[in-house]
Amino acid sequence: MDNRRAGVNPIKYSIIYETPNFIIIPLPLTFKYNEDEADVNIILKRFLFASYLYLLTNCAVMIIPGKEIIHVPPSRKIVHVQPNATIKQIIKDDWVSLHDLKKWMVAISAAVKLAYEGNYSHRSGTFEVLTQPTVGHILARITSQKTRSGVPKRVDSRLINILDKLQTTEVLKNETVVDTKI
Amino acid sequence: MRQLLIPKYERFDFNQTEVEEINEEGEKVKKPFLEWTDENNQKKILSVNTGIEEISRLFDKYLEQLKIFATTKSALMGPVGKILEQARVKGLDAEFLKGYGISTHKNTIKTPLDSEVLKPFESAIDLLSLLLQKVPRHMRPKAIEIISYKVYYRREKANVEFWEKWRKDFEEFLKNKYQNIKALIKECKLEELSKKRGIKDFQSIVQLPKKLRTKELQGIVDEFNKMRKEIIFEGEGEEE
Repeated sequence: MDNRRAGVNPIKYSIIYETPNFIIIPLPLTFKYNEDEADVNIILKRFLFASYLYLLTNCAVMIIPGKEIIHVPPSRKIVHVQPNATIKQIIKDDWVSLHDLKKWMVAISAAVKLAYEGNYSHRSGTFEVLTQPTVGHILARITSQKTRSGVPKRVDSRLINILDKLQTTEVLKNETVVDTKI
Repeated sequence: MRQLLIPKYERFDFNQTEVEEINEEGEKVKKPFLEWTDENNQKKILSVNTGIEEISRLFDKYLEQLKIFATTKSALMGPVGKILEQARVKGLDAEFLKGYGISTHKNTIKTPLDSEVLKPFESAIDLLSLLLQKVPRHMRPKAIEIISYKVYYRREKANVEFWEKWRKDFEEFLKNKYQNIKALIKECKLEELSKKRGIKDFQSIVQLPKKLRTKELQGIVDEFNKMRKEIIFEGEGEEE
């Protein structure tokens, strides 16, 4: 629990959540890939890492930056997502339940790949992909890119597969599985 | 003081299936957002999102019969892109949109119009004009944009799947016709090209860009297409 090594002011952690199956990871080091990477992208990556950790250990996971004061609400769920004004646009709760975990894991990992393919910004590309209205928008962006030899990028079945997976998660705003009342 | 007139837009949910209306007695009554009977005579209650899904499915069904194998979005969409543009700019009258769509179809598409082609086309436009009339005016461009990208995604996906299958079938066709790759290279006069690009198997011949094909190889491709009875319009079809 001590994070003096990372050069952050020591904090006295006052809360202790008395459950045997709960992991808190104070993490002063971030998941930054670039120096100018936005908080939203980092939070999404942290969330993905936490959900993998949950699958490994079967414990509820909470990753927080070293400087923050821990507050664990009594009604916690499986994985904690660090609250942020921008991330609230897509993930509305601070805690993600087991029911939604798989959906988010698939969506974020697909978004990471698609952000690279569509040449989205390094700063917040993953988040940008997740806020697109439909998968068609992402596909159009990918096909508008050019390869190194200057030829327009072509879509193959691998990419369509990833897009399909993202579509079925229904994370994108206007992607819904048709369920109609009769 | 003079008051500023700022239009108040109510929050509109694309997933809502019910709308509140005031009846003759002045009471608030909940009504379904949009009722629709599909081609199987099934009654459905649609929201904007599910309506958009239905429209894109119907347009996709129409475009599937036209067999357009293009690479750009505007070419893939065919007359649908132009219809959506007219719906955005001019009006939502279903008959106007149908007339416009038929005229662009006649001018640009080689597939003749028959009842099978027209059926999904007409019902898509009917639903489009019904749905957009219920959507607030300021949200219409957004709804139209979503429809166009959904149709594009469906078409591109079908296109990719088609070429994937075509390549597999063509490879099998070549394997059955020729004993080994050397016989094929000799017949198609691909000796020089095979040295340059390192052609060693049938798969690399299948993936050869159209520009690099010799006359003999193109003849084999045409023979294969005739066998499959696929209509592939010249210049639009294959990937380069």
